[in-house]
Amino acid sequence: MKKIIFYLMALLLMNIAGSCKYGYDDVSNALPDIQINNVTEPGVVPSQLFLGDTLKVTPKIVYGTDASAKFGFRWYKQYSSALKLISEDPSLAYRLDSLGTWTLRLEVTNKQTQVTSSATVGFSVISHSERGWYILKETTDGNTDMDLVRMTEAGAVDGVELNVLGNTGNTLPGKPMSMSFVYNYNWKAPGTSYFTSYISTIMPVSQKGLATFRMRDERVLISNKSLFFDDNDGNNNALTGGISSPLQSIIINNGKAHLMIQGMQAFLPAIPGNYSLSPYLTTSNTSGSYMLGFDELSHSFVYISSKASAISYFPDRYLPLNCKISSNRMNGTVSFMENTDGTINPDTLYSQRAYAMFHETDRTDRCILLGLDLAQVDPLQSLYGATKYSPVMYADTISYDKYPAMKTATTFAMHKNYPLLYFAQGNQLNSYLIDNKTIRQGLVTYSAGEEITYMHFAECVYDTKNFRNLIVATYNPSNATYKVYRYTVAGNDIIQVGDPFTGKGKVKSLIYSAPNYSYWNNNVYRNY
Amino acid sequence: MKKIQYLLFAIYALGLFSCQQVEVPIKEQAPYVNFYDSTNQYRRCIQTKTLNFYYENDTVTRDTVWFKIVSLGSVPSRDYHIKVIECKTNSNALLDMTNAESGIHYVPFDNPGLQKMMVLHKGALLDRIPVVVLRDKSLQDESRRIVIRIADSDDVKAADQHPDTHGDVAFVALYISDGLAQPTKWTSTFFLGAYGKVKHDFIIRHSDKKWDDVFINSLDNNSKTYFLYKFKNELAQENLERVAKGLPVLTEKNGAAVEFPQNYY
Repeated sequence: MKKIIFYLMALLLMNIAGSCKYGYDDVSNALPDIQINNVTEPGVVPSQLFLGDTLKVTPKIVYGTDASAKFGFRWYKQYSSALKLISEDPSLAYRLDSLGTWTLRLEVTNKQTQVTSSATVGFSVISHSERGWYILKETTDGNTDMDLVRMTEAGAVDGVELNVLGNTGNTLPGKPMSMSFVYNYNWKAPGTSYFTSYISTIMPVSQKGLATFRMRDERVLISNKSLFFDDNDGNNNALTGGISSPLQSIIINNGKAHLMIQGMQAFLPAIPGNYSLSPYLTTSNTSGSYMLGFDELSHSFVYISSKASAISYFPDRYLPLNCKISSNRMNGTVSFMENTDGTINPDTLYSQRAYAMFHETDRTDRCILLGLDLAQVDPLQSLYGATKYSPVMYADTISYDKYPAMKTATTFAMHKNYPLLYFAQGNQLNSYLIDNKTIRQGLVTYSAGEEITYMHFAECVYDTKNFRNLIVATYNPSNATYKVYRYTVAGNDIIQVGDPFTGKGKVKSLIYSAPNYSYWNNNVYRNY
Repeated sequence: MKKIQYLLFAIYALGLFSCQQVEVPIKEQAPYVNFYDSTNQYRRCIQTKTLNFYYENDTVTRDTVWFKIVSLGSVPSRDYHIKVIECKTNSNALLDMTNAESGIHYVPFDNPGLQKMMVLHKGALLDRIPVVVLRDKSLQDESRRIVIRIADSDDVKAADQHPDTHGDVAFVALYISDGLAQPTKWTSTFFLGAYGKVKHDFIIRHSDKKWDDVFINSLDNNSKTYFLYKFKNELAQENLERVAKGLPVLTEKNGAAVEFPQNYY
């Protein structure tokens, strides 16, 4: 027994002595690092990609001087606290199937040594439908739909999608009236109990319906009666228009104003009172600006503040050196109103103004071009603005005898940087330089069958590639098609940009969408 | 040596046959029961409910309110009769009102018919017991409260094994009325301002909603903004019409004009 124990102990000691023999070389034979190239370098993976595209990345692995080493690859999509394996191929080819910010992680492992190295790359995925022109149109059967002309970041046309409302069964009944951008729409998805906020949407409005359309996935979230809080609203719609500001959206239904504060999910009940708002509204460039409108019952300019409980009128008080024209009981109607840059009040430097085309009730031989000081709807202008005075600071009588072209003008648009009024007569585009009171006719004359149905000076300052274009839409009744022309304006020169967009129907309005929704919201006043 | 080998083999053989499945015995305690506290916050006032006959038509003369109970200590192996008694407490968790009277405002708990429903059923960890409320005319003038606790019965003990002082035990409260009563959710910071019965009636008329605790609980912030906006405007309109008829503006019984806050939620 003792011998057995002795032999066992000796064997054990020998094993211990010989066990560490092969570790001597470890310190002097260091393993090289695995270098992962062609993944995180600028330009390899673009910072912005599109939903539905396939991302392809081919990394280049460098492992010291050993070109024969074998590696395993694992590609992960990184979530807030988890990794999801999406590929084990050396090169990644992965379809981008969701919107938002993506983070991809690549882990490369040496198959022999099991040493691993990793690289991470991030980018954003946007929808193709977040950048482009949304065209509000009257369809051939008298209802309302939208077409989308997609644009690349560089400003080229990237495809067209027709009838984006009708494609999902959401054509709005009646003729189109207006279209506005709502930055912070609040929505409760069906089957859920919570609201999602800051959904940026476009709100098309027709005579009898309206909807919120989320550009990211071209989805109509809510429409018609569901867009009113009160069960009594939305039953007999006679919608005539609407605009949005950073504070709130307004629609006019049966002459009454309904407000939807940014961050809400529906429109409040009509603002009470004895009034009937015209569809022409504008705002100043201040984020808290009131909305300037016109009451067709009292023939007065009015303003609507945030969550207003009443339509408000300006006092009959006048700044020195102005026209001393009351904005109340003006005995006429307004057929156009838009804002532009520049000062109209000589006593201030406030650089936002609007012009309105006014028609007296008892005169048919002339119209009056009114200049309006938008400081009066800017609550921050406590000294010379903020509803303290009449906003009318300029009145230009335009006699039809002297300017016959104005008598038959059908559509108007303001240049957004200086006081130049564009107006259309049939198929002819003209301009009226307000300061000089001079008309230029025939800036552009379209083909005989084309009638101008819409014009707007689109100043986009909220995209990576900004632009200023005069937009003119025409309609040819013989084939029920529209064309949308874009022009740059330089002094007296109007230069067409690209080919016109074409489609079926008659254009009522356009809006340019860009993914920078916050910045767009800060500049939404440019739409009006 | 051989002896050692045999010994080792015997130990090994014993080990092979020594393991067998044995059922783990479940320790059964004495059965206990209490009202169910969904929050696990060890509150004294475990559940609060309201019943207002105001929203029912005149043919309704009684109604039943159910309170959840929970079995503690064991799963009931048979039906257990539950004993409920009135709890005399002045806890700050209760709304200040007079206690209801047994037999006038609610069916007494020792009523034989009611006793049949006071049961924690066999196998039930959660169950419920009723309070049958009677629509007495006095409820039109004054709201009442029914505050009850569980006491030991012949079958099951109350989980609150305190001396019968009422002050230390858990209880539930039921507020009953037959007229507009201030909802418990309508506190001093409620978005519609101070409570008043005329105001309460006004908002019910102008919204066709009950404006009870259940409805108030369902409101999101934007809905509150909508209702405040709506009521302010409609109150202004109603007051204009009243003044045009020579009537004063809408006021509470104490003469205070009905008003809504100016600031939105």
